[in-house]
Amino acid sequence: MLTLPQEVRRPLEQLRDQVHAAIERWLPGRRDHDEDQGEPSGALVRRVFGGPALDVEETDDTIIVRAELPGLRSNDFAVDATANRVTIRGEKGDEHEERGRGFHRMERRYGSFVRSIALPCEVEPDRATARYRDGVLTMTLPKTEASKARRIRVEVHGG
Amino acid sequence: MPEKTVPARTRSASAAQETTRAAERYVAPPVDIYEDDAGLVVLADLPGVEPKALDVKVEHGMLTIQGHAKHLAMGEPIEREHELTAYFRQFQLPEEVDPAGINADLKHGVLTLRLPRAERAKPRRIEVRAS
Repeated sequence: MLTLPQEVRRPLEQLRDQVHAAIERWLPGRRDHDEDQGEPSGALVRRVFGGPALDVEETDDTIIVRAELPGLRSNDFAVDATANRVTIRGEKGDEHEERGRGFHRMERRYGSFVRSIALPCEVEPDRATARYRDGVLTMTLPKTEASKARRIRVEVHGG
Repeated sequence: MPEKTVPARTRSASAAQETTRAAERYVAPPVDIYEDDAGLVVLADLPGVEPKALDVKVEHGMLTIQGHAKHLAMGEPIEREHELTAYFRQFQLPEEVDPAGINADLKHGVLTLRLPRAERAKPRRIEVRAS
């Protein structure tokens, strides 16, 4: 794995973050109901930059974000949440740098990554909780009172 | 190590197979395969799989990795890039692997498989005697 010095890596990472943000702005994430919109921006970002796969779910009171981070320890990554965005960044060390002889396949990804995702509504980042288990990070972000109120259930009566 | 792209079925399994059942959706986990002094090492990313939901077997010289991620859907999906679902991948093992000595370890969603080389396949130094 190529390791760049910090003074080179830092600006490159900043550029990468900006490109991420730009892609998300141009191609807002596909929702379940608009199948024709083509590739979801998340998948595009991930294919180019190799960040973790994310799932976002919504319940009445919370937004749940799940990230696949296989092979990482909980101190290998950091999560930042704001009222409307979650950012996961980390670094996965190459565990077989020294034993790298006779490679048959190398499909798993190594190196640093960052993934940032816009949340569908406002949350209270101070009350967010995160859990890491079996290579999956699960974040639970409580909605603000205002975003809870926005969600209205409509009862549908069958005839 | 050649990969089987079509899941192989043993004769006994295919006899019991329900033909009407739709094939289950699965994801081929990314793997690293390299050699060390003892033999082959296979690393596979299986996020969300608990040890008890993982099935690794060697049958007729074929290594099968199969696992189910615990599906924890708690709400309505908003963004779904990677449905945490079933993993499946098969590789044809080289002849010189000792199937009895295979060791599997699952940690932080990564499976580490050690496939030791069979004794007879280990490199041996051949003494050359000067006459």
